[in-house]
Amino acid sequence: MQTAISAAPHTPAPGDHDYTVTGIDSRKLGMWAFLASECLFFGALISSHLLYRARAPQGVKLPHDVYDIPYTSVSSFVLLMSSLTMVLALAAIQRGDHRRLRLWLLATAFLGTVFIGGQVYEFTTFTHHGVNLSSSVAASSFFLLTGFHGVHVTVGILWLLSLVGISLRGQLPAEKHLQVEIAGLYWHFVDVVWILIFTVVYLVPNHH
Amino acid sequence: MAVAVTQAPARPFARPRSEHGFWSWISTVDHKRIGILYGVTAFLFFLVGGTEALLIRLQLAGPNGKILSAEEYNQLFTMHGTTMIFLVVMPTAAAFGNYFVPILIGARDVAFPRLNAFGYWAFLSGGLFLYSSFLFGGAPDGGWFGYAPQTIGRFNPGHGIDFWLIGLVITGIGSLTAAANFIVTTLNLRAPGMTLMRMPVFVWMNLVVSFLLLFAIPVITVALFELYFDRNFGSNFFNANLGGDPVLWQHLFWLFGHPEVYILILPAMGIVSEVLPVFSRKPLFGYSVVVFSGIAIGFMGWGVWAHHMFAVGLGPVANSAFAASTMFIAVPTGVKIFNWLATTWGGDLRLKTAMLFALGFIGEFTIGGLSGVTHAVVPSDYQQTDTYYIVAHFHYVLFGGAVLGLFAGVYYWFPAVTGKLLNEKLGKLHFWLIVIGLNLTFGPMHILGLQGQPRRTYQYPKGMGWEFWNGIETLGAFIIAASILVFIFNAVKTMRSKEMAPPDPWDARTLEWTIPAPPPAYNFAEIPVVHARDDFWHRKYTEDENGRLVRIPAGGSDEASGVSGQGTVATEHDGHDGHEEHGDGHGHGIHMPSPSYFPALAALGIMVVAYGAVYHWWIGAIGGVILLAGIFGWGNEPLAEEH
Amino acid sequence: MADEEQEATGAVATEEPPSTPELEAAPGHDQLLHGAAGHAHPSPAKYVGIAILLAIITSLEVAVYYINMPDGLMVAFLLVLAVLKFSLVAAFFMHLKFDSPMLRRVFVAGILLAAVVYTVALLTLRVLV
Repeated sequence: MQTAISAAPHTPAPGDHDYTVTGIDSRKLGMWAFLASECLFFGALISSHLLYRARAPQGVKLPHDVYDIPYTSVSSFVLLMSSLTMVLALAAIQRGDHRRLRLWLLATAFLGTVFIGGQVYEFTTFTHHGVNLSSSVAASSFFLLTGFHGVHVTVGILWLLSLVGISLRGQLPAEKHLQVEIAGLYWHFVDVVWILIFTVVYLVPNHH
Repeated sequence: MAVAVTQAPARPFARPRSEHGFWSWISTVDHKRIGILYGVTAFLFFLVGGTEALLIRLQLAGPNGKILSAEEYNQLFTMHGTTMIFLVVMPTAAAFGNYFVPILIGARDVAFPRLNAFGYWAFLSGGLFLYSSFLFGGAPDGGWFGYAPQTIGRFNPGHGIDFWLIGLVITGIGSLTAAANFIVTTLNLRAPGMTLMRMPVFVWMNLVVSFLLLFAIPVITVALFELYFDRNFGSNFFNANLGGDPVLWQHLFWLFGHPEVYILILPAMGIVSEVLPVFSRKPLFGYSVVVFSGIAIGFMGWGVWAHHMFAVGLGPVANSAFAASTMFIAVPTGVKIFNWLATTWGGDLRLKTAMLFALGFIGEFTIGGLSGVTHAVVPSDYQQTDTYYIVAHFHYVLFGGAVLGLFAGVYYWFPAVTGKLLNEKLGKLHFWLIVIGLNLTFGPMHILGLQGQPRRTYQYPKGMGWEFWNGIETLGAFIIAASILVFIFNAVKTMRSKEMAPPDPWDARTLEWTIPAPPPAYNFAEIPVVHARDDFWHRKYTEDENGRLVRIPAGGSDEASGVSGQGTVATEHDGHDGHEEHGDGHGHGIHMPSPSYFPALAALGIMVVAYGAVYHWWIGAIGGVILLAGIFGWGNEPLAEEH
Repeated sequence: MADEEQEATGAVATEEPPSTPELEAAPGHDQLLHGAAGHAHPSPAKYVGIAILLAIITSLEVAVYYINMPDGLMVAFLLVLAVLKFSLVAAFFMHLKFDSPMLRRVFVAGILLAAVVYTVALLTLRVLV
């Protein structure tokens, strides 16, 4: 019966099917390579925003004029806590606790959904104030950046829910914890991007 | 508690298992077959892109050309450039990378076989989607670099540009996944003893290219999406009326675009670095230096992009900085050229077709590089930019460089893939025709550019004095076309012939020549143990006191082994507990990943989403469902089925 | 169909190096090339601690936002705090501190490259100046 990862971790030797020259599992290395590329992706979106953040026609509100910092602080906090639940999910599968795994995965997905819901509400409010994709270049750059981030979160949520489903089918044993770890890397990265966005887009003053 | 083993979920469609026939190609995850798919598809696109070029040259053969309207001309040069870069040169390099990188490092496959297949299908989807624009109201006409504001909705209504934008997003996804795959494969799956500094230069160049792709593709993807949103959802990234800045487009595009040109040339440089030593019977001169120069080019390539923007008005500080960095980047390239020359110096040269193409690369690429150096001088670039002088430069480096280098790869590796040798006489005819053709086509462009003939202009008036050279260029283009016909004839004739090449026909240096040709699915019956750079060569030859080559009797590809065509490979690892390496030396019991339809299905889904992105959201939704089906199916199936 | 009757290795097979399906490698971070300090994973309690730290830093950020200070100073504070949060998540939640240095290098390469090229581009556009 599978319980926790055995005390003597299996280190692949040459000839084993999972042997790698670097000692790093290929999927993990692949995910980190992908996350490195995502730095360039979000960097371009953030840079576009930095260029445009103060540009709007006369009389048209900038995103900065309609931010609700306390509100966004709360949703940022929610996403931050979802990273905690994610890492607790990983810890759970590593010690063979599959109920807790699913619990924490669901919690992560839930918090992510709350975050997205919060954004949907936030963006709807913005549009009521006349800040939408077309109202200014500042708004265009804001919505594309946060929109793409939101798409990434959504993909993450679907991924996590899939893992819950797989676990419920009994097909996510403790030895396959790497699959949770990799989903976790993606999830944490998406959180980390939001840390940057919250600071650079919302908090950094826009007085130019 | 979870149970470790359960039944596989019932699937509506059975896992493909066939190894022959049409569907076996759709479902293949074998890196060699994927390489062939890339290569054949890229060649077909080459013919299309070449036809586009011929039409352009017909239009420009004389003044006031009437063959094409301005709009048609714009579509043709846009598609010609986009095709050659994204649908020909990159995928041909991918073809060689796919086929040979695993073999060159002594591996059985890439790290992610299904992702590898997906990369090909994404390339095909993107290319077909892009070309379908001709049927759906017209091809894109904004140039291969799509400068805003010419490409925003107000100035470019219609869907052509959207096909370009989404098509490139799709091919970009394919390139990105391929890049991650190659990085992991190269770092993780090398055979025992294959240290990084023993890898063939082609593998190194492919690794550098993979990192360039990894970091550059996301940048253009953002640009493409920003323009797409401007055109379709009313955003204002490049709408100057609301403060949008066309220079942002240029920055994002060229931040991708400059690394992209190194992505285009480095694989060809890698091939040349393989071919020259074999046909000089000497090791590559300064292997480490060549490798480090390639890495340096990869790094420095990120520091020069605004040299494409000298005439935009960034100001003297920016212009000077980028001029300096651009001049510096010539250094590692120059270093490579000297190392290649030194490789051939004093070598026992065999001027086979592959070698001719490799030597041709050096000459033609150098010419292109020299014109590039002149562009680095900002005041002189002010005159050159947007003239035919620039067209001359990049065609010398891309056609005289990349294309010749890739053809060297074709002639060199043809026997490794097919077991047959392309005809040498026809090969030499191809070579000389193409060299004459390319120099007649692109050489005079330097002159015309300096005389002021502008790029991307569908006509030039009488009386400029440009008629003569334009006529020569058109003639040259048709000579190139003739050379390609010779090549096609050679290829078809060779494939039809039953004559097989001997094993290791070139007396080469690296691992791909130690296995049968065509190789078995598992590549190596036993994973080789590598003791040196050019390990195969050292198993065949040693040197006597006078430095002369002495053949080692027991080494070599077909002597000691009892199996026909099999390389003699020293191995230490038979694997553990009956899993990976059942190999009995004849390749039985080696489990390879099973074929799968899901990568192709996922790519198909993306293509349908693409049509949705241009037309109606519900088409996109259907595509999304197909894509999700592909992804979930892929995630659910194990990599390999037990037999 | 014979395939369905085969012993399943687990429904979610991700791309492994080709072979018969096998047990996956356990973390084994401690075995890795560089011999990282001792034990592999922080305990759940430690993770909660990091999360609390992250929450505190976030509150600090918001507090800084509301305090009247020159723009340059505020930006400096905010960036430092953001980088701190970023690093905590990367080092602990993403386990970079305990994993092979190669992963760190790959990730940092992306971050550095992005930072440099975009800063240069923005400078030429007279932003950040």
